[in-house]
Amino acid sequence: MSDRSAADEVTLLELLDRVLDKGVVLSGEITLSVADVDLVFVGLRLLLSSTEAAQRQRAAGEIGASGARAEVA
Amino acid sequence: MIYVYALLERSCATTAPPAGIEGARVEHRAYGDIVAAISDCGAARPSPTAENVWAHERVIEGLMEQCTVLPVRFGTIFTNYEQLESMLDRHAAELARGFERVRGCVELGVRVASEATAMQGLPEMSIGAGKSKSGRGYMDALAAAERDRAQVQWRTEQLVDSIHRPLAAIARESTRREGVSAPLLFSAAYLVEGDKVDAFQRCVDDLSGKLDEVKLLCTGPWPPYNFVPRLAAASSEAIHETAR
Repeated sequence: MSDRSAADEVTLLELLDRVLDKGVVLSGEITLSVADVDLVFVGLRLLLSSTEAAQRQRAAGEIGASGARAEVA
Repeated sequence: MIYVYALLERSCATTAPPAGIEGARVEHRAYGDIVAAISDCGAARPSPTAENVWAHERVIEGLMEQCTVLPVRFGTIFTNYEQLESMLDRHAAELARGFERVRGCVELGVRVASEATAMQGLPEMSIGAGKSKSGRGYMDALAAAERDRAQVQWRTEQLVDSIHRPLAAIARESTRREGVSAPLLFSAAYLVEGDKVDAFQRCVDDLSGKLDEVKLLCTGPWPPYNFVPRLAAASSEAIHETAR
């Protein structure tokens, strides 16, 4: 796996860790099931080889107030 | 049904955020001092697909550029406005403290993965134990393996501490994830004030240059997912996380 795709994968995992598992839990209905989460993890990891995932990765060095992702090191 | 992306303060004026899940228009609805960024998701429950997860994130990032946000976990829906209002009203004080906690900050993530050197020594011990023909030899090999394992663990902890300590010193707060497994040695989130992001990034660069045996990856800035208030009543109320 290239450094770029590895960075894409890390970014995506970091995103999923946060969006699916962190954030304010209000007492509405959380629609995710355990099985769904597992599936989305598998599905998104497969997507990493696609151009779509690469496009999601923001350019390195854009760290700042723009909300962009940056890979460091 | 009402899908919730994030919570804002009423005092924060924002322009329209990006389109939400499945292109839905995101609107702001005020409840007391809190504004909820929401969209109508119809009767369908949003699935955690790649598109939907990114749409959720994009809305929050759009808001984060303009004001302090408390990101809400993906998939949170309410069946009516009264239910949402009741929830926000009940937790108004906790949420207000939550805004203060993260004001002016972003979240940065750091992962440290082994480049194998830090874990060297582990394969040999299992081979040694397997080759021993006598009971005593086997037990000696096991004891040696345990000593090796403890030494590797100690080295890893020292290494992780040498990374985490300077980064935590720059951050307002930090949180480490427990139970990571090789090759991942360390994963943490840092709540960093906006004007310290560059310093944090330089620190990561410096550490990366000094440590050949590991690979550091820093991502962000993220909305402060790891530093939101844990609402006291949430665990005992109507959260439906069902295993299929």
